Amino acid sequence: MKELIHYIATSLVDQPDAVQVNEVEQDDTIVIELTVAKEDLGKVIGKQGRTAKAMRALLTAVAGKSSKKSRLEIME
Amino acid sequence: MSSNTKEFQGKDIAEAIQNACNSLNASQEDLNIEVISTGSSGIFGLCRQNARLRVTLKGENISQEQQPVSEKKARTKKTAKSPKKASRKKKPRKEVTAEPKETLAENNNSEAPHSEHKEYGPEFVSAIQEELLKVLQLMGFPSEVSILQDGNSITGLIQGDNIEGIVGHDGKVLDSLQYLLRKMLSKKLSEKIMLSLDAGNFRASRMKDLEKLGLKLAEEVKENGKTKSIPSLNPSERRIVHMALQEDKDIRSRSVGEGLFKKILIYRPGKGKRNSQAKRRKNKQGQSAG
Repeated sequence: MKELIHYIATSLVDQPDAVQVNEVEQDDTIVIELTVAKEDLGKVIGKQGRTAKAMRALLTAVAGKSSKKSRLEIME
Repeated sequence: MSSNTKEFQGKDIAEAIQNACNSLNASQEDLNIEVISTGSSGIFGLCRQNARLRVTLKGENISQEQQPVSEKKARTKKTAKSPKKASRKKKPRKEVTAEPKETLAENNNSEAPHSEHKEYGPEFVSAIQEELLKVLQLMGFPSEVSILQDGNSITGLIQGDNIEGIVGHDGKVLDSLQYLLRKMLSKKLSEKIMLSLDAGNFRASRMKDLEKLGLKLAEEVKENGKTKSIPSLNPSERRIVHMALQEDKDIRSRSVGEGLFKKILIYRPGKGKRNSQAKRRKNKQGQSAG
């Protein structure tokens, strides 16, 4: 899941080198922490949070396979 | 800049252009017009600012590219106020004068620029296929992907054993994937692509389902006159329902809500709050158009 978000985020931003993804598992929840360059925050969030929403939908689908919950946190 | 460049002012862009035409004794088509400031009417006539233009006779050496852009900007601002002016312009504009029925216009934005026919090269297609495969593999849903081209829209067809997971509830995952891929690819290929994704025959069956649902609700509305609604549909899905109900004169459908996902109301025209709202909206549109 980490790789998935990393791949998507690097494809969207202007500064792919600044993309960092952390994966933390708490009980049955997988928390993905995404850090990007400040200028790229808007790119991974998207208009009305659409991009973030779409990434979350993908995560939910992936996590659902192993009946886990997922959370995507975009770090500032 | 050449010596033939002159500046003109006017209370708005239209007037400034008119001034320019009069004093240079030329028609608007023969002028290169660069808008310096669009001016503002101020508040209660206070703080009024004139619109300023820089005008050159055509055939002079001035950067032609700048001109249509700035002129277009000015026009879009002005159309509401001076429609006559706008209609007099002869140059064809690419702008889609899209103010027709909301029901039809809703998802056309993804299909509107069909006028320019364009084929994508094989490197394009393989890039799309690669990207899609890569994301699917990272998601843990390895599948087969084939790319179909139809005019200038591209469909990525996903097949395999994981379709159910990829489509998700009501196609939410598939739509998200489609949205993200569009973004990623348009960044990578620095060109906008009309990409849509399909898994198995999900889109076709979804379309049928929605049409059926719409028609079923329409029947119920006709029977007892109560307004029915379908919750949270995305633009293309709403379009399907509106199209299915368009022919039926006994009922109307429209979208309500904010944001991407709106719900559809199916109702019987007649008295009632909803209809009066719709009427009011229509009147408003009529005013702004004429």
